Amino acid sequence: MYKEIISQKQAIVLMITFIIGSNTILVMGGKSKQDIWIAVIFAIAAACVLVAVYARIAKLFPEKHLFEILDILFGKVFGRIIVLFFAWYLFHIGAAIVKNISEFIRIISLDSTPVCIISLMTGIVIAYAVRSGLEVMGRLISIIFPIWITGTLVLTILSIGQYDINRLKPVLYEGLEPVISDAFRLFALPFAETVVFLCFAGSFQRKSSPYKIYYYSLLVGGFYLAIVVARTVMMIGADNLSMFMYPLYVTARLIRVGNFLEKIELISAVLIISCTFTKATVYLFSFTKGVAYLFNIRDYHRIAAPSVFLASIYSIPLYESAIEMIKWAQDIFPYYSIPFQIILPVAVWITAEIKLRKNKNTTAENPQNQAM
Amino acid sequence: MVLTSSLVIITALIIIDLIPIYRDQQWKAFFVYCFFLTIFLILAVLMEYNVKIPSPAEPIRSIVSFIFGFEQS
Repeated sequence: MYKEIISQKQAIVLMITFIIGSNTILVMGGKSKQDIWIAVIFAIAAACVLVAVYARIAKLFPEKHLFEILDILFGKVFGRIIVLFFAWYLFHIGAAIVKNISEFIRIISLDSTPVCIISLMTGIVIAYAVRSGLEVMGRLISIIFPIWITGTLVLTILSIGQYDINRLKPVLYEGLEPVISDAFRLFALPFAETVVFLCFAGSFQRKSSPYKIYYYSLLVGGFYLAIVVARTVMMIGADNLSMFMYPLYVTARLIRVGNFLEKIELISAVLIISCTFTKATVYLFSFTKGVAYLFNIRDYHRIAAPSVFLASIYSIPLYESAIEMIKWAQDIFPYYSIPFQIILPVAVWITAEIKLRKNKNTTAENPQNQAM
Repeated sequence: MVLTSSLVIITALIIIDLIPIYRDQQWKAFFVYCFFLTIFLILAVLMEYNVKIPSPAEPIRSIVSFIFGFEQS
């Protein structure tokens, strides 16, 4: 089986789309209210530190994905136990994102359609994407990305007339505590979620720099989110932010240019669905790869379809409603993901550094021994 | 509804994916594929008959609340 390679540009674009993919949940008002854009900036700053660890792991083990790295560092048995837990995490969050997409579609348009049909249809699209492989996904996102950016710019420009800068005031009225609390939530979702990209870091082009991939994506995706959040607050105000289910969609609905251009929320819906779809694909792609690695299956494409369909059907009973799902994502997910987003990568990084230094020392000592 | 649509998907998957895997004698992939499809079918049958399927969300919430000392909502 040939090795899949994606270019640095494709990896960056894929990661940016992945980061922006959580925007449906993200813009939901937290404790920081009108200061949520400051919380996004704080979260970016915190993520800069963690992303250095991810990039360092990818740099230390070029052409190796996370599952192989775990095997190398922790041995066959313990390594595979960690892979099993990590695969569960990927499956669970992948299914949750499928639920997110299907609930969004159900709420905004197909309210009479059973959610199982929407979930399984979403599963078909994701299964096709995962089965096609990473290269196809990279190329697809490279094509979609400019269209996607144009759509966002159009929405931003058309809504300029409805911005009220006073809605961003008073700045830090309730102090830093709510902002830091929201920053922690935003740090875990979406910035630290980029740990998933370690599952196919081995597919990054050899000449590409993991640091560039991670930092460019983090900064572009992060500041984009900060702008979108600020835009949403300026349009509907902080109090309304927590009232609406999908504020981003609602703000697009408010856009009206004269009497001839209105109801362009469809653009926003397409953007939200396509980004969330990319995120689900990345998660379920990594899950499939993890399962293939666990069972020593050389070609992961072979088991892509049942893995994705399993996640899409399991997404139905995962949460009873969209509100419960969003609440879970806001309150529990940041803590649930600590072992996978922080503890595991840091443990991998420290172990890798120690092992590499030991190896260097032994190779440095060997020629001396040989000379003696 | 869920069972019918799942059966359609399973039939399609068997024709498109599973038969070629069997022909190529990739046994590991074949068994993993069959295992996942079986779970998929079991979940579909349970949902069709309105059996409540346990979600990991609640146990995870309890564990997180226990470790970090939150109040359960």
